[in-house]
Order: sequence, then C-alpha cells, then structure tokens
Amino acid sequence: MNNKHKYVTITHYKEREFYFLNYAIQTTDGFISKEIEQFHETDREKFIERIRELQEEFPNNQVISISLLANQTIHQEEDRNRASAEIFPHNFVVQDKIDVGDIPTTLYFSPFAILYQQYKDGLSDDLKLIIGYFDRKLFMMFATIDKIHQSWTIGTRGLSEKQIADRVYKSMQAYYKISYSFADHLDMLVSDESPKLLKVLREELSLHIDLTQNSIHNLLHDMGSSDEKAHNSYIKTFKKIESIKNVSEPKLDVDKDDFERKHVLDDKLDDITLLKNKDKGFMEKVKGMFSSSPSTEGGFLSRSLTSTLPLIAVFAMGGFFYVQNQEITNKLFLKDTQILAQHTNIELAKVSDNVFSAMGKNAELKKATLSTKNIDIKGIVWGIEPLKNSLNEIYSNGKFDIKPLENFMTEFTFKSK
Amino acid sequence: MKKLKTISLMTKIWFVVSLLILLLWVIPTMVSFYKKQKIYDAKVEELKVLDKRDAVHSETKPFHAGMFKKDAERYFSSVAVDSIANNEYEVEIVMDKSKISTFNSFLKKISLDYAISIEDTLLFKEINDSMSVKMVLKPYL
Repeated sequence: MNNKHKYVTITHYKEREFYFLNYAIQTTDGFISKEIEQFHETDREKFIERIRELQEEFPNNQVISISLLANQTIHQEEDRNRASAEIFPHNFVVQDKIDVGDIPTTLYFSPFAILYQQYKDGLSDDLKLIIGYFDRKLFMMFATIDKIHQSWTIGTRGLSEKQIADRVYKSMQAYYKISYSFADHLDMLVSDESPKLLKVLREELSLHIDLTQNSIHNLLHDMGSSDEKAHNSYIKTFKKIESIKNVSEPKLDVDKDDFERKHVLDDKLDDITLLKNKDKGFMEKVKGMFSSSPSTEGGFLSRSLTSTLPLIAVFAMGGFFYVQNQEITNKLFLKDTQILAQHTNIELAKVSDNVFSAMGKNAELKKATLSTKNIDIKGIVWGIEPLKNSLNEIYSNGKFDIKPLENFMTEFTFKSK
Repeated sequence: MKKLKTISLMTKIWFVVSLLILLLWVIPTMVSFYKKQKIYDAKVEELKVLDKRDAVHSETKPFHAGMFKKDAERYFSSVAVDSIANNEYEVEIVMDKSKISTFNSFLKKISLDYAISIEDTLLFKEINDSMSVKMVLKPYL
C-alpha cells in the first residue's frame, strides 16, 4: 500500500534530557509500531527534522505527545484561558499552556485523558482510584461512572516505594476527609516496570490493585487511533481521523510491554498537589441552596423551599414524637387500669376466700355482699363461737349477730366496720 | 461569621423558628415520651408479677359478652351476661358450692384475659343448693 494512504501516528515525548520518538501504522485491526528512536536534547534539531521526515513520508499522520507536567488538574468546567481538554462529559483536564514549543504536535494528551480512556469501561457507581505512573509521577484520580471526582499528582522522585505507598494512602485519606468516600478498588497503569512499587502498594493499602503496563508510545498510538479518543487532546484543531483511517493490514501482535529504557529524571517533583478547583459535591450544592448569593445553586423559589427544610424536619420529628407520646400515654392508661383492676380482683378473691374459709364447716352462706372495703354476710350457723372468732380474726370489731329460727336453726349475720 | 452573612434572612428566620419549636415542643415531647416509655416498661413488669395464670399467658382481649360467657361456662353451671347502663355488664354466675375456689381463681384472671375491671362488690346468694354470684363488669377498651 502506498505510504500516502497509510494513517500513521507519530509519538514523541521528553524525559529528562532525552526525546523519544516512535511511529506506528494504524490499521483497522490495531497499530503496528516501529522502533523507538532516542535523541539527546542537544540533538533537538535532528529530532524535529526526523519528525518532519516521517510527516512527509506519511502525509496522513497525527503527531502525538503527552504532557508530563505535574500541575494538571481536573475541573468541572472548561477554562478558556488555559489549555483544557474534555475527558468526560463534565470533566476537563486543565494546565497552564501547551508547552511543546516548535516540536510538531497535532495531538497533545494529558495522562488523565489517557487514564480515562483506558479505564472508562470499568467504571461503576463504586468509587475507584485510578493511578497512572508516568515519568515517576503518580497521576491519580478518583472516579465513578458519572464523573471524575478528584485528581491528584504525586511526585515520587527520590522516594522509596514505601514512601510512595504512604503518599498514595495519605491522598486517599485526604479525599476521604472531603468526600466521606473511600476507594476500595485501585487500577494502575504504569509505563515502567515497577513490581516492587506494586507489591508495597498492595501491602500498605490492603487493596485489590489491577495493574496494566504499557509504554507511553503505545498509549499515545492508541489515543490517536480514533476521533473519539483524539477528542481528549489539549489541541482541539486536528485532522479528523475516521476519514483517513481506512488502511487494512494483517493483524499483528503489538508488543505492549515495550520498555526499552530506564527513566532517569531530574524533575523537581512536588509533594501531593491537591486540586484547587474542587469538585462541587453534594455539600456544596446544599450550601448553595441555603445561600443568599444569586450565583449559587438553585433559584429563589428553590432556596425558599430548601430553607424551610429544617422546619419541616423539626415538625416531622415533633410529629413523630407527639404521636408516639399519645400512643404511650394511651397504653400507659390501659396498663394502669388493668393493674388497678387486677389488684381489685385479687383483693376480692382474697376476701371471698377468707370469708368461706372462716365459715368452714361451722356455717353455710345464704347471702353475702363482699367488697374489698367491707363485708355483709348472712347464713346458718352451727358453731357460733368458732365462726365468730374466725370472722373477728379477719375483720376485728365486726358486728356479729345470731337469731334463732323456727326450724331450730340459728341464723347469723356479720357486718364489718 | 462571613459564611453566616451569606445565608439569606428568610433562611435565618426559619432556622430560629425551627430552633424554638425544637426547644419548646419537640424536645419536651420527646423527653415526655421516653419517661412514659420507662414507666410503661415498669408497669408491664409489675403486671407480670401479678399474673399468676398457669396456662399460656394470652394477650388481654377487648371484652365481648358472648366470648366471655362462653369462656366462663367452661367452669360454671350457668353464666348470664346482661348489658346495663354506662356501658357496663351485669354478670351472674351460678355454680356448685364446692366451686367457690374455682370462682376465686377465675376472678384473679379475668382482668388479665379481658380488658375489664370489676366493680368492687360481689353479691353472693344461695339458690337451690347452688351459689349465685353477681358482679358488674366495666370494659375499658
């Protein structure tokens, strides 16, 4: 196939004093990358000349690079005064400027954009920490399926693996303080082989970590493979890719573990960089609703309604306890009544039992009015004295009377006082 | 203080009103509820002590004349339940004289089985070698 029709992605980036250059033929089945070329910074002109040669050789090309600056942050809105790239429907990665100088570049990606493209399909409602380890910097972002909540960049130069793990953990703690959410899953994309770092991270964080290794060149070739991914570039004006990507070649295995060199860097890496422009979370929205500022969330009506929320909450709570109080009052009244009734019944039963026990075989009851306060009984008596004594034992000073009947029987009456 | 100033006047008023309602109504009601709940729990325990039923301790049922009559007839020869004024019922139980202790036991449990209180007067009368007891029941549920 004629080189003019081939779609080629030319990738370059700088680490310490070296420029690294690579190009790949893009096909519908993937890209076929060529050998990586290395140029010392003193050979900058040669490096640029080589890029131009490749551009001439392959007119259908994109020249792609990565920004490895530490001060890249993710915002909710586009910053038109700075270089910004949309990497999510409502997330923009922003840095001060596109710093490629006179080096030909048509697509320029943030590591955050690459991370998002690599992991967007695995995002869910669960908070996930995604880390990219490029140029000895950790580009970290906390993401769910709907957005990227927070981003951090941690410099690791001169730090031991344990210190790096500590900083990752601290950034997770810091995020927890502002969001009350903790990522329980970690995805990591590294451009260098770092098994020791991974081991320490797993030990220190006690987290499941999915690791992917790929070279920066391969990642950039991938980013230049479609319009959808290229859209994440800081440079917004670029040739459409879909129309030129019509080259079909046999599918080849792409070596994705292409780590040809040790990265030795002299960048003065900063400590953890917390984004200044934080994600407007739930609390911010709530604050906005209560605020009188017209610039804050919600309109007047919304704020008016929202400001009555405490009152509604107080009434709801008061209403709940009022109903509960009424219910317990009723239940308490019923329980009191029942206890009183039960006491009365027990007392009455006791009186009845005492009276019949007192009569025993000495008398027979004909009529009685019994209450817990007094008794009035009438019957036939056979043993006058025992009955009188028994009744007086229960009710002292009671009035005991006897009356002979015509049938030679004796009637007794007893009234307690 | 700066943040406080950004809050609208209306919101502040609602907050003050809410706070007053909370202090003057919600909290006293809440305290009252918890106090009563504590007393209620103590009453339940007190009633448990008074409950000497041997059988399964069934829940207290609302009074129903028919059910009560049927229940009492299991122990006594004859039971009559008549409705009288003031939502009260006059009950006449006729029993064998030897069943006085059964009656006393029945007396001890009827307010646990039914939501009723008994007027503090029992009228005993001998009728044809049997004993009749009249009492007035007042349902409270």
